[in-house]
Amino acid sequence: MGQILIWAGRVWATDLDARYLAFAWHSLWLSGLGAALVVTLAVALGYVQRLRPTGGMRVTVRLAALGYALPGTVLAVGFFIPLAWLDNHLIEWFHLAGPFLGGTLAAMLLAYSARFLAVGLGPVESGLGRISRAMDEAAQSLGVVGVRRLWRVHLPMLRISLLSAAALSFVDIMKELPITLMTRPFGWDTLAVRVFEMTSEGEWERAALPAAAIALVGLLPVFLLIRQSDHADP
Amino acid sequence: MLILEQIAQSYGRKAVLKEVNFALKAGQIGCLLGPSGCGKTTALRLIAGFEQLKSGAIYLDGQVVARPGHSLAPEQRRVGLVFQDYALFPHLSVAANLGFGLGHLPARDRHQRIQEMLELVGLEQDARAYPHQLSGGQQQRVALARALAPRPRLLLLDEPFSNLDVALRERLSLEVRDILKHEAITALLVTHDQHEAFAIADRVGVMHQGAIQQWDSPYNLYHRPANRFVADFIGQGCFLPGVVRGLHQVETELGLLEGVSAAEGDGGSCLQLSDGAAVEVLIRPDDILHDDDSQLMAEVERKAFRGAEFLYRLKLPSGARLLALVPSHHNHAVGEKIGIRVEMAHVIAFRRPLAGK
Repeated sequence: MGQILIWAGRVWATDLDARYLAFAWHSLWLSGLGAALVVTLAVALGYVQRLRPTGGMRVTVRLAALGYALPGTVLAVGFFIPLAWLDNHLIEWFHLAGPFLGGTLAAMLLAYSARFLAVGLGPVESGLGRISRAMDEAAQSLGVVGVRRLWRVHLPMLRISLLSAAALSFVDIMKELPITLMTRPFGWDTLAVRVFEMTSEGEWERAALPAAAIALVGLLPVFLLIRQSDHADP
Repeated sequence: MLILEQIAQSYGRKAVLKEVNFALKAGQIGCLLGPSGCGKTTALRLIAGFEQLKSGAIYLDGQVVARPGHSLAPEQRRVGLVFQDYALFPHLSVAANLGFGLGHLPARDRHQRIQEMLELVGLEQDARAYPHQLSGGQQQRVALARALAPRPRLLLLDEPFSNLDVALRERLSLEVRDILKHEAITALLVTHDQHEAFAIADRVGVMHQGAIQQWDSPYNLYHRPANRFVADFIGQGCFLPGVVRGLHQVETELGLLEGVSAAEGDGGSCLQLSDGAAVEVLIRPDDILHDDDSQLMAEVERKAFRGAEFLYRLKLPSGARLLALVPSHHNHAVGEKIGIRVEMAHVIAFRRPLAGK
């Protein structure tokens, strides 16, 4: 970390320009949306699994979270092939000018959520596990079920778990490279892509600046999380 | 109001409920009483709708709410629940907890109902407090008020006092009874504590091994137990061997006891106790009076000071044992022989168990 700061200090005067604002913005935007998507999916899967705790459901959820165990490159390729296939058919059917899904933010976010679902699922599942079944039944006997119950009982009680799920997947997505490289829209560079480009050209010093920026931006949600936890009711 | 008809429930090969029948009238407070694992909680969950009924039928207000293959969803049964651990929503204030089930009401009515409920349980001062800031007794009252707020047809209480200390338990159970009676609520309580059951319920069903052994008033459970299990489980007492001598009379070591009838489970009053039959009669500690003038002597074997009285365990000359409640100024030493007298209005006789059993 010290070395990165020293290098970053040497180059920031020449390298830090308007482009960095775009890199950082892209990174933040992607990580934020990706984290939101991961947490949403994790909550949906966790809640469905709580309502129907069958063996089949468990296996399904485990399979859905398997993306984390795969190397990012493998997942990116695996994601890219069906996506390209679908795109080609869409172009054929609807006479589109170009790919509809590939190279869009939506595709990127989907790939991220497949990759990092497990990161969000962990805290959400353990958080749900700490909420007693009697809570569900109490709400149900008072006439509150389904999504309304999730909204009024589980989500508020899960607040800390959701924050940590979001923070973890936010940081993971920010550092993510293979999927970003393969599915990003043309010219959509992020801080991580910048680090990759500079290091692959052997420009270690110039890679330090985006690396430091990742660390800095990644600290933000951690800081927020700690603050929230301190304020949480016991 | 609430009718359980031929309820049987099993999980895998394990039968949890065998044949449960009982009915509660509107405004009555019933109680299922039994040791843990007797199936009482399963019965409660079946009535609430959290378990699928496998055999029998449950009626509420004349409507079938559960029978095999048909089950009204819990949220549609209008059955209120008070949980053992209260299950208050920790992120909501007391007022918001009470209002949780009132989402269908316009804001003004909801607010008014919350206010009514706060007053009913005496928590007006704590409307803004959060559950963790309340004492156990207060939390219990919030749980009760929350369940009552949407005006349920039936209130179910699952071991509602088991998390409270004993002194509070007794006071609160009387308070809860007053509240339920005041609001004319039909309620069913599940507990393993007979003091709780007797304090709060009009009708108590003693459960054992998945079946209701006796569904009766607390008085009758104590004084006219239907079978040996009920006699043993409810209150204290001893079984004294005797021999039937004519109609409604049993000869025992304590003399000729009159007004004898056979326990319900052993054939009931319709069964004529045949002359010369070997039986055992149930003697409660309050049936035995200490009387210095009595010819009948028994040796004090053990004693327990209870404040207002002593509970003595006495040994009769034959070796048979009795329990006696004696006012506490009669302080006798262990080993001392004291005079006793029997005073009982009604005697319940049981078939003598076969030797070796």
